[in-house]
Amino acid sequence: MLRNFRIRSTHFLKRKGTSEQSSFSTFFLTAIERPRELFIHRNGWFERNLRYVLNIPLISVLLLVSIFPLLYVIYLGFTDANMMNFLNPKFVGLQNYYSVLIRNDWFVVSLALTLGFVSLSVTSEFAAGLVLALIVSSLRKATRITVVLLTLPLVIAPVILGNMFRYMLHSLVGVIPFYLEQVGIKPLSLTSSTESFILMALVDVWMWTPFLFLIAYASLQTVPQHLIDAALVDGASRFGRFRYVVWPSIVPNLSVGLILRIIDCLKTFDVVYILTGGGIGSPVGPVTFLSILIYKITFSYYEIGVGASLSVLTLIFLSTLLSRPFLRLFFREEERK
Amino acid sequence: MKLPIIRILSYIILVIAIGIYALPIMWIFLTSLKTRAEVVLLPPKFIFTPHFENYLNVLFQPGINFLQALLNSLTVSLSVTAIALILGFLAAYTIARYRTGGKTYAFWILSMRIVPPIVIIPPMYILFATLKLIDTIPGLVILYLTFNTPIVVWIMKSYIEELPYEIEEQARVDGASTLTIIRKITLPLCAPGLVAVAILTFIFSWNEFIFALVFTDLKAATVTRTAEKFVTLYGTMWENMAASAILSMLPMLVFAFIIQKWLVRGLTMGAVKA
Repeated sequence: MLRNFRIRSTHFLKRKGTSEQSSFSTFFLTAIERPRELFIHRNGWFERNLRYVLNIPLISVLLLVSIFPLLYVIYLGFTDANMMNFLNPKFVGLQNYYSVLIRNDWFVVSLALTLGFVSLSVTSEFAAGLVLALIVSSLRKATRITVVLLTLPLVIAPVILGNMFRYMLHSLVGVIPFYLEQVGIKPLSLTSSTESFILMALVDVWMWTPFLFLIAYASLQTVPQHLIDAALVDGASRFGRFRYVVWPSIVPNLSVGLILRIIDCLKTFDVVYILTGGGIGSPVGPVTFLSILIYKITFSYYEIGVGASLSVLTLIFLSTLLSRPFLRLFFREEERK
Repeated sequence: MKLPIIRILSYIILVIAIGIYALPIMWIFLTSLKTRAEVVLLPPKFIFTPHFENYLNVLFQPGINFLQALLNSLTVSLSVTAIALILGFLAAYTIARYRTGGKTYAFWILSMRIVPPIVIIPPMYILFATLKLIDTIPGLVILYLTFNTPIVVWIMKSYIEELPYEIEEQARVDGASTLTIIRKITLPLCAPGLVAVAILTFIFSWNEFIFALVFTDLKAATVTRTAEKFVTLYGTMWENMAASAILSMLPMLVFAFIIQKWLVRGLTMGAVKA
């Protein structure tokens, strides 16, 4: 409220000196007569429209990498484009959608797999990250070195980590299956179908728990100590302090971290591709998540049109699911005021 | 006297957690020093004479071009970071101070974070094929902007909003133009935030895989793309793969260790307000 008033008052100050002419005619008149003034004059056209001018570079990039591909992919979804004729494909109407939704159940199966994968791994990551953060913040020693060590996996490329696990989980030369068998546990195999799904989730948990840990740890540092002390004086138990003092103040931050993680997890590609190649044979395997499915249809089966229709369905699903919580988070400061 | 059971339990969990994260990386480091016969040996050997040939192989074998890949990764990441910071900072300033475009514009920018990269790959591939941008560094830079600009805009917008508006107002009273205010006041005040965001975009660009997989082959291959080449061509040469993994994670680890404070800040900045 106060800020709005300030901005408006500045504008009032700024406007005082300007002429009453409309901005477009001033622009052209000045551009022809005194071009330098457009840019250097305090009340020049450039200065007054700065709020739009400064966005031009970003908007031009966005047009190229966001609007153009989205329109083009919608168009491709209605055509029979493949690797040979993608420059002038034939229009086939809803045939691609019929093939991925009704004739084959690729989209629905892949969507269900993706959602199962996301809920399994993100829930475990969230729980593990929160528990670790609570433990680390309750200790007096060794906190700093732990935070450093747990941050390091986040900066290594997922592909490199995928390669690493590919070696260690290998059923013939891997150390992890070897020692599990020594202990007497039957190890999960990457080549088996259902087991590879669980392994993928485990690797994902390994890779991304540090992210949610960092978010949880950083938000725990922001909980005001005097609130905890007050609860302590009132005789709150350990659990009570957490449930009624700490939890409410970290929930907003945790939910942002959670949504970011869900978005990234829905897009999972790198590690699944490296570890399983997306599964060989039929288009939809146990680890064929949405990104993998689109990649396979487009680049292994060369069906660009079918892949594009899958992309459109994925986009529709993601935007209905995520746009509202995402926007609310972006503007949460204003709503709180 | 009460036994500190909970504390002991906490330390045990902590040690296990650190072990789970440190052991695989140490194991890969050991693997990179082994000969081919030792790599596939089970039970594994923990004591052996280290060999450094794998590193030399990876770096100087003609088919892999790892040095070139390192250079490509560095060029792409640095240019993406610079461009994304400039575009994102300017837009974030107008969004934070003037609410330019309202929610529609902000959502348009953020929605690029939701769109999976594989969705925009076929159209961009066709476009790049006609523009002859495939397997070039500028093409890769354009693609990497898709996921980096939204992060910059998001973080810088909230960072600028935290800055006191009064300082800018004072400068305006003193007769400074908006551009001067941005350059001389907002930019220096934003420096810590910009550093954190720059680190974040650099790491994300360095680690990116799917665009590099589809759009590069020989000339513009990045480090992650090279790692994928090991899987297909030298699928069983684990010792070289391990050496290349260590070589590509080493710069990032050293980098992360030096700028650790900024890194934690950058990673949590979208979510946590101090």
